Amino acid sequence: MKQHILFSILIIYSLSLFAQTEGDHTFQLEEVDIEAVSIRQEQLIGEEWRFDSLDLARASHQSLADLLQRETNAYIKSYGLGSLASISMRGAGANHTAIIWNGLPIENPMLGQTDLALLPLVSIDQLRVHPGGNSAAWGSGAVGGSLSLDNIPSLHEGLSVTSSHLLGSFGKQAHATEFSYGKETWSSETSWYQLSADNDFTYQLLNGKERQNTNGDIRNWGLLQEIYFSPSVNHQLSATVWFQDTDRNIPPTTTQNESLAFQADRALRATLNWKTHVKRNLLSLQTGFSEESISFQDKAIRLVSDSKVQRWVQEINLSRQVREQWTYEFGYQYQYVRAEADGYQNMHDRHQHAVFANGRYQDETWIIDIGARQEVADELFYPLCPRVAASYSFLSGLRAFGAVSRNVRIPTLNELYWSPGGNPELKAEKSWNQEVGLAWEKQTATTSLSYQLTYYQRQTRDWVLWALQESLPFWSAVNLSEVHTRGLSQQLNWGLSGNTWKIDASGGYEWVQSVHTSSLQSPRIEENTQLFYVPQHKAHLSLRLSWQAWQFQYTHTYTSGVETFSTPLPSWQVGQLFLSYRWRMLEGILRIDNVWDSSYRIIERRPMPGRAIETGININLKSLNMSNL
Amino acid sequence: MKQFITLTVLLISLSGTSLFAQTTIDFESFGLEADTFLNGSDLSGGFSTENIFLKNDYSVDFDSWVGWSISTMRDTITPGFTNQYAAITGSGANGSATYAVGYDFSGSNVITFTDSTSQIVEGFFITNSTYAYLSMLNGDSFAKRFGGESGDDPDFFLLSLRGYKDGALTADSVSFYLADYRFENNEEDYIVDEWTFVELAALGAVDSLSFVFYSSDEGSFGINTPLYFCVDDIQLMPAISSSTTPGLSSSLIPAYPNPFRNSFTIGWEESRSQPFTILNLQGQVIKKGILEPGENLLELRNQPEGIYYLMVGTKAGAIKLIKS
Repeated sequence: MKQHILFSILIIYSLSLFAQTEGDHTFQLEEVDIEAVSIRQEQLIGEEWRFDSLDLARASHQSLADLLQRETNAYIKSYGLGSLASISMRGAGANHTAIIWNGLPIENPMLGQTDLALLPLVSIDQLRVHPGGNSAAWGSGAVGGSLSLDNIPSLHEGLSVTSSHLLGSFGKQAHATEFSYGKETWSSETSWYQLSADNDFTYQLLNGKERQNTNGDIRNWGLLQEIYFSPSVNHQLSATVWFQDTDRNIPPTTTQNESLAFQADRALRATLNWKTHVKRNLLSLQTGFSEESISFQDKAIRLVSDSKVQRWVQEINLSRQVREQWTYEFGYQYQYVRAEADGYQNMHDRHQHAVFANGRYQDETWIIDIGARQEVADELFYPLCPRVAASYSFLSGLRAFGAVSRNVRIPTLNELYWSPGGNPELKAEKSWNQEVGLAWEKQTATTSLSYQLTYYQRQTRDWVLWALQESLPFWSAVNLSEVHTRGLSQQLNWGLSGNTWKIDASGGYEWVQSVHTSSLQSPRIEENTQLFYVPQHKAHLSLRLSWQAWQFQYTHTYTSGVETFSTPLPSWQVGQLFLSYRWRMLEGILRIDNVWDSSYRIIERRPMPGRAIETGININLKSLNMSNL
Repeated sequence: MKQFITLTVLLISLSGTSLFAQTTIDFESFGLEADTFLNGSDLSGGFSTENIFLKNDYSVDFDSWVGWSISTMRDTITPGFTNQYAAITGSGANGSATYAVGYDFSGSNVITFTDSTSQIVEGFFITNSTYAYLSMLNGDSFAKRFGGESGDDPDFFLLSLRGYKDGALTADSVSFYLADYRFENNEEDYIVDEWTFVELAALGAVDSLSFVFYSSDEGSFGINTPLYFCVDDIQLMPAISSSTTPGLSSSLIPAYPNPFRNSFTIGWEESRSQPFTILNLQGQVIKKGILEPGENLLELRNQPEGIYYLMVGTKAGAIKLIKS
């Protein structure tokens, strides 16, 4: 391991020396007039769902899972209020979405996924959701799509303090406070948040009787520190440290009398990023560290199962703009992952290297992206992942686009090493993605209207399943299946504004068919049947009204029924209301989740809560003069 | 013609077992201390006692096992797989200390007889493991509480016991419900929590036994109910001729009255005569003869009261006869 890390440090250090030499000159350079951008950070072709800080504020004290389920075409598989939540994009599995925080991957390498219920929206400033495979940019796991969670430096000078407090049904209490201070060359933001909920809601059993959820309480708190330093317009140094601590009891299923299960999740994530612009070049050096520990305990069955995984990531990325139209970038990323678990017989680690290159041509009518990424894990070369995407604008506001990409998912550590059943001989899942689409956009001084239609398909080979094999007396991970996926995604946005008011409507609908191409015996899967917990249809519609200091939003979501491991679940739909009123530095909010009090389940035998009311207050103190404090 | 008949299990009282004078395998010879178990981690591949072998497949790599374990665990309270070696009775049958725990999900769980001759297994005592019992009673994070959300689900946990002779499945099987919630009246629903004798003589002479689970709580990944059960006091009849074909059922060949005092009638409904043999519980031949088409009156006037078995040359299995 030492050799790998040393090698990586040497590369980055030597490159930074080189960059510093260049930088010595750049301090004297004239102001940069054309900035190169990282191609993979700025996706211009294909679908995107983007949420800025205002959007995120409406969902404050809710999790990423809540927002994605409500306002995107992604499907969130939730075990219940505050319980484990995973994402399925474009008919893929939970570990087929890359989750990127400030440019670095944060999905748990043991599981290949991140619990979205543990990603509170108060901890990020911007969210971008990119459906579609893009391993060329983000590597293993970016098969169904990718999520980019970003912290953005505040442009505000001086001290500002924001504080929000919320009370809600089922014993929910949430508080968050952020201090930010900015001067000419640097800024600091410190955020603290805390959430607790009893989750003692009442739900309906299949025979119509009611039962109260027990052992469902959650306590979560986190601390986020961001520091940004820009000694000149050409340099930016940023450091982010995020710690989060969550204790959750796990409620019983609807056919379980009692549960004493408990899970503690701790996560420490840190990034250090240096970017410098040199003429038309952007050099970015980034290092990151994360440590996640999960402790599952069940007193009833006298079980304690602990796991801890650490990840170091180092990355260098050079983007260069050539003339007006051409940009290219090269990058190298090294990851070292080290995991210990009671379910493993030994500590396991993994050295993962990746080189990637992207090129972009952009003019008034064409955008063309060409990229590729090669990953090597423990000296094993995984398939090269190329991606070609193009967009062509024609007529007035019309744009046609398409993309072809090859994507991989390297097996998770649990799939490789869990005892029993882990299979060190597993191959990577490989898929080819194709998509074509049409987008139309029209904008006037008072109205905006856009519509996007995307058809996609994906063929995935060596899909990993836990299955029974003749030679082994337990379930084990095997490359067993081939999965064919095709779907149609639509996105609509409409806006109309006046002097003191604004109306926005946005919606989406996705049809997806994701099937195993052959039948299997154990697990028992029929040919051409939909994957478990992948709905064929999902639709959502949001209507927002702003008038003077008032804001109103109603969101309605429909999800079709899903196949489960035993009994299929019926379709469900829920609505949510949001109302806010701002008065000077104060804002009061009222939110009603599941406003129609639907009784529904996303996971078999795991009930979801009925109507829940939340009310809160946001305090926004800006431009405080330090001398007055 | 292959005949496959599932017999209703006859549950007899503990006092009734005194009638049997056959070999009883009670696992006490393993000499385990209280609250201990043998799970095959010595890689012996199974457990031999008397003339039976209980197969065990232990994986060193994964520290897991399937097949059989031998146990003296007494924990009747702790749910979950961490208590996978305990019987819900807290002891072996008849208050003994040691018993066998069967675990399997692929149908390969077997008991074989180590000598070359076939055996008629009179039966054995069976009960639920604590793990399976509490899972069905209360539910767990994987398996449902029997009865489901409403309490009315017609759930069941069934063990099918099958015999093999020379590698071939015998004609009959015996079904035993470890739990049965299919009754109209929910008060009749039950989960077995006592050692219960399962009569297996109807399987005839076999050289191995296998066990297959069925459960109403099943999904694409198989049965959710924990696939465990416990066995004790395996009662064997002495060895009988290997030429005997097992699997005969009294439902095919009427024998009446049964129990009988001095004689009984066999209804032989086939067109050709067949030789027959009657054995006592010790495996001794008591009577031989020929069954003619139609009714045949057979006498055992000079024999003591007890259990006898009628075996017909070309027919599978044996018919149990009780002289009283």
